[in-house]
Amino acid sequence: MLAPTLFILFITGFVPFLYVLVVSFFDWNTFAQNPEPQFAGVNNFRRLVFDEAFLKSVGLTLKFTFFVLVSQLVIGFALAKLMMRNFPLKGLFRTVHTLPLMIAPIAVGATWRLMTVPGLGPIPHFMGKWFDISYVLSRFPDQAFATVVIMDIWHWTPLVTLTLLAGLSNVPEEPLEQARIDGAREWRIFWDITLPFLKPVLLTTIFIRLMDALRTVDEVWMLTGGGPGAATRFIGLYIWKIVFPKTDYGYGSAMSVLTLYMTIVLCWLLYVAMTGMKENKK
Amino acid sequence: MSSVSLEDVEKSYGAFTVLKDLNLEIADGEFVVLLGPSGCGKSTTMRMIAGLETISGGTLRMGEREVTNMHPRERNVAMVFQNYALYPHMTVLDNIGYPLKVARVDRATRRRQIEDAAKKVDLLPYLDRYPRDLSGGQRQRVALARALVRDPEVFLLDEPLSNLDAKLRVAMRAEIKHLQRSLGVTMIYVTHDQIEAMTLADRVVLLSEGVIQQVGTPDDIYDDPDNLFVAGFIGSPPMNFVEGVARDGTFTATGVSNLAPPKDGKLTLGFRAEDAVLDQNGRFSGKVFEVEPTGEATYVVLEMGASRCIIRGDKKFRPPLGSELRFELQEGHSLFFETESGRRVRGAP
Ligand SMILES: Nc1ncnc2c1ncn2[C@@H]1O[C@H](COP(=O)(O)OP(=O)(O)O)[C@@H](O)[C@H]1O
Ligand SMILES: [Mg+2]
Repeated sequence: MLAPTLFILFITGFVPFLYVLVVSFFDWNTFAQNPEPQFAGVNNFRRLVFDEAFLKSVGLTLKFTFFVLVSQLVIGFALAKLMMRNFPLKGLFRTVHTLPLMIAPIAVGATWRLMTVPGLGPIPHFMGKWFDISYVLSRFPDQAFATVVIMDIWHWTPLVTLTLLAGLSNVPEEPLEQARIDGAREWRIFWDITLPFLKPVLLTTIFIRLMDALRTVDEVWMLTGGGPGAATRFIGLYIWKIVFPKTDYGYGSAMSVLTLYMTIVLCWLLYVAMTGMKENKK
Repeated sequence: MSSVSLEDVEKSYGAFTVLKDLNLEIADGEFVVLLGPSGCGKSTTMRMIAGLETISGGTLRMGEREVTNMHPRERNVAMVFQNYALYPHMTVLDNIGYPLKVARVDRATRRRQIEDAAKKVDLLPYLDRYPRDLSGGQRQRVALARALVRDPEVFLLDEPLSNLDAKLRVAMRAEIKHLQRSLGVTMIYVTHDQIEAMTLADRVVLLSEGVIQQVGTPDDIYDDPDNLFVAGFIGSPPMNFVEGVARDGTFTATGVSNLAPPKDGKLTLGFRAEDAVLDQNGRFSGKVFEVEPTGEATYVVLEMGASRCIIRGDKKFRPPLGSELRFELQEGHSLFFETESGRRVRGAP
């Protein structure tokens, strides 16, 4: 039973990865003078390190990831805590609040685009009316970046809420009560008891969101197209640009490989930081 | 350590009253056991004393302090939960030391106190282990040590032995009692097991349906029960009850003759198996229904009219089934209760 599974995994997962890895060591551009792939050693990677546009998009992606991840964890945890209690219309709230999760990213981008079109969308209208802010995504880079961040928070916070809610409802009551009797204050109980119980769920959630955020493409593509200028051109959008309009396959592959590597390193660092935390404190 | 006093304490969840008019004085250094069937409100009482449940009415005092509305942190009580409530991600050392760590005791002092506490319950070799690597009995000890490491006003133990196997339970019972005696601490102990209550307590508080039925030493509770509930709950085999009617100074019931009641009316006679003495001319009689040898004695189940009674006989005693047995009760060991209200009727028969 294992053999076919491994075979399928190999074909669908490992082979494409190997292919990209191999291509990343070639010069291959179908519109170049010589459209045939030619071995180029680490040239693509050398080019990458000095490609300012790419480095900028990496920085931008990291900044974006940091903002959305932190916001989603904080808001998601607050909402999960809220949903551990009982309040009127809780069931309705829970359903409505998970709706964004069910919308395809491309549709999310389209919706937000409609909401932000100047002269048509409600956001520019009310920003102007209430705060006297001229809100034009295609003109102001900061507004574009902030909107993209908020859109991602809106889209993915419910996922964090749901996983943390599952985690919270699995925390047993007795150790918490014991800690209260042992004299701990609420924040201390959270830090010493609740958090360790939540750690596996928290780690999983962070990994999922981290990897997702690092490869965000579609909703941003719909909303801003990476602009204005390169203000929201994240790695994914940049790779897209290199691979499709420019058909620079070798270079695009090198970017993908480097991005994957970066993601793995980030996850690893995070894992070490979070699991090593307790051991060091002895 | 300090005394604990409950005055008219009440607990209700919405319209549902769990406990009412709880009045109890617990002296400094006393070992009090809350005993009662499951669901009678023992844990709730305990949790109110600990501060985990709000108190709906009345006053709770520890020593001179009123603590009715105080946060658990400020009450300074130690509690041992039925499931031990250990912190699974901490070693035994950290588990025991947690109350000290929270109280910002410095590391060296902490270590010394942890080792002191661990020594009292024989846990010294296990300090570096995690709870999952311990047996049930050892986990129990960790929970005890975590309570001992502090200097609390009172120790609260909620069915601490009910998750252990029978043999270990008996052993731990003795250890807990010994600890309490040697440390001279105030201890409130919850159990539904009357043997545990009788063996451990200075005083037993018997609860039923949220109301205290009787407070007294184990001997009081056993020999001098206030009502039918107490009489029936304590003792194994339980007390025998024979319902009858008392009129003109004579108690009439099947199998009972010539017994003088303390008053007239519908009464229930109660007596314990070991207070029956076989006697050809006894005033009590019954037909042998079954014989139950236990090794150290023989219990004979008798049919006395509609009720079954158990009397205790010699270990070699084997009366034939269906035969008629006559017996007498030892002086002062026939108790009368009002059948309707269950109240004990005292006074010379
Ligand atoms: N949170 C609650 N809401 C409503 N009723 C409760 C709650 N907690 C306990 N009770 C009720 O209080 C009664 C006493 O419970 P408890 O003190 O746990 O009993 P015991 O420990 O003696 O077995 C039970 O009838 C139980 O159903
Ligand atoms: Mg209980």
